[in-house]
Amino acid sequence: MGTVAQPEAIGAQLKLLLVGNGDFTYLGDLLVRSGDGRLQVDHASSTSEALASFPDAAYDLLLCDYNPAMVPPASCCAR
Amino acid sequence: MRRRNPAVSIVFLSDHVSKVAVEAALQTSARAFGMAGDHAASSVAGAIRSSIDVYCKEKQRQKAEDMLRKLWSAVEQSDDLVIITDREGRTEYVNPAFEALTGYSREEAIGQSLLLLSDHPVPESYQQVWQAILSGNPFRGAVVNRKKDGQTFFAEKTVTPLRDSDGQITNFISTDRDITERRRLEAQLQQATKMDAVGRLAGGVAHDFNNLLMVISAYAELMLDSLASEHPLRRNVAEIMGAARRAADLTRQLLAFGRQQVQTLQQLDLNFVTREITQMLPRLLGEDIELIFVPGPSLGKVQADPGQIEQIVMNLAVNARDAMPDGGKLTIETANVLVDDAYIQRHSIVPPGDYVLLAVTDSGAGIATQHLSHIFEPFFTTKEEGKGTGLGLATVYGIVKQNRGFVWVYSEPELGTTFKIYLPRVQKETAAVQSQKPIETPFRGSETLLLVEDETAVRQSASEFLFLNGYTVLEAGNGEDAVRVAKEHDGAIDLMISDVVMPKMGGAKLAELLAGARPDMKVLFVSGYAEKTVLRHGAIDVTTRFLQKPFSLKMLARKVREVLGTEILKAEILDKKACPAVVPASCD
Repeated sequence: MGTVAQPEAIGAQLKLLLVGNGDFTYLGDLLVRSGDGRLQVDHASSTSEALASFPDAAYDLLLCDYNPAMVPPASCCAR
Repeated sequence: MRRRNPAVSIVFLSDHVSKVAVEAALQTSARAFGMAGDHAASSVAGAIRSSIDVYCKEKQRQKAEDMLRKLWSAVEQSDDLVIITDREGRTEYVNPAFEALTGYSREEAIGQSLLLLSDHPVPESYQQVWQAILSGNPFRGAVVNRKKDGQTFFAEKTVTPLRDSDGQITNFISTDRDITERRRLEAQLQQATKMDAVGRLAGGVAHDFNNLLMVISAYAELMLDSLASEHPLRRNVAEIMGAARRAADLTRQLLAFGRQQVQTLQQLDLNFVTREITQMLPRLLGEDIELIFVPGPSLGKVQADPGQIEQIVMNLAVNARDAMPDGGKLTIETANVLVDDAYIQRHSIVPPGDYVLLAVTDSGAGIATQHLSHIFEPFFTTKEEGKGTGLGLATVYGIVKQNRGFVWVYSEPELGTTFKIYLPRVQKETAAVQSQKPIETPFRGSETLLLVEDETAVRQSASEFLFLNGYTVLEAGNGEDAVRVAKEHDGAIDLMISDVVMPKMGGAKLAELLAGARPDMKVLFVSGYAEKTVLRHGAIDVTTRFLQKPFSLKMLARKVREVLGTEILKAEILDKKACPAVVPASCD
């Protein structure tokens, strides 16, 4: 839930949203570490939280747990 | 999300993510981000790709660990015995169920052969296991395993080879399911089925045999009565009658084994009945055997025939005596027993409930284990030829079963044997009825009898004997014939003696037909069939108006007098008349 701690940005960033709980924090850390400042990573633990917490954000890539909590991924993406 | 940014790429992550899907999503994202072909874009895509890859691998590893934990727990917590061996059959692992059942600890078992539990020499079943293992095939079959303490148990064994990715056998996994209890119950059921079949056969044979014996003994009786007291042939006829009597005893025992003995059921106090029987036992047992009777306190009642209880105790006592040729101790005990579910699981498949236990224990030679499963079979005997018929315990078994009870035997060679008989305890007790000794009834009379019997030889001999004893006898060969005879006879018919099962018209139907025209006529039914069969043929009072074949002519005449005599006594009391010429014993 929220933005994963970001290293100092280098130029333009690819905006990425992770939707999933538990292990996705680990994935978020991996992405931030390996992204070398080029990745802006936000994390929501469920699809409903993703829609509620980041209403205006336009993401380039969405990485979603196949079985996220609350709302099925298909309905999340269909909104 | 798509509505906000139609170009957004979405990757669903599961345990197995398609690399192609990830690649496509990354390229789309890169284009949307305006970095396609850019080194920076490639670097970001690589970072995402590698992160996803690491993430997925980590997920897979965790999942594999979880599965391994589950498998480990499944094997560790399994009720079945699990053994894993190397390819040479040396044990590498055993689960706690193995330790609990066999008594071998894990440390003791590891390194040992799979044959650790087999007997020596290795039995055929284990040789089959070994052959299957060596040929790389799975084995499934029943084996007898031996525990550390030497006890055996039956197991359903499965041995499966475990192969590596090249198909090479690396290990064997053996699972053993303890089926000892199942085997015991199966054997018990099989035994009960066998006994039931033999019982039906014995009962059928006994019935046909009874009719033949009736004819032999009846004509011998008539012949004896017609011979002068000094006639040399009297001894021969007496021998025939004696043999017929012994044969009748045998058929009675066969009927008892076949649960087809006619019963006179009463609510009995086993303490009272047993105490009476024990007074007769010392003569039977001899001086070297000490008899101890331990009556249970507040003993419940059972519904049984006192004569049958006597048969049970006498047969067990005779067996005990023969098992103690040099003397010993015979203990008879009674007790109330509650058979609950726990007891059933340990002992038998009998229904739970309240029972009264009759236990007979001797300190004799005991019964060899291999004989135990046969002792209740008719004609099974370990006694010397001529010393036992092999029907004693079969009779006990039949009587107990007929009374919805069960019998259990425990025996230790050289220590003795205990027979435990459980009879259902009656829930609603009526006033105590103690066993009564039969009253001797004379058998002469002058009444008119209608004798209906389809076996000509039986009918003729009975008719002749009754005639010789003062009765007027009208004969009929079947029901229809009897209706005609009754119609044609002008005078009174005091008693009809009728077979129950006859062709054309049974005895019950005949009695019903004649009841209207002759309401004062008494009826006495006779039959070689069992009580249940008789009852199926109509509402017949088997306790007072029934005589089971085979019977001697004197028994028949006594029964006739008994049925007729009740009325005579009543009439005497009412009319204050003198006793007739032939009177019951109570008038003497």
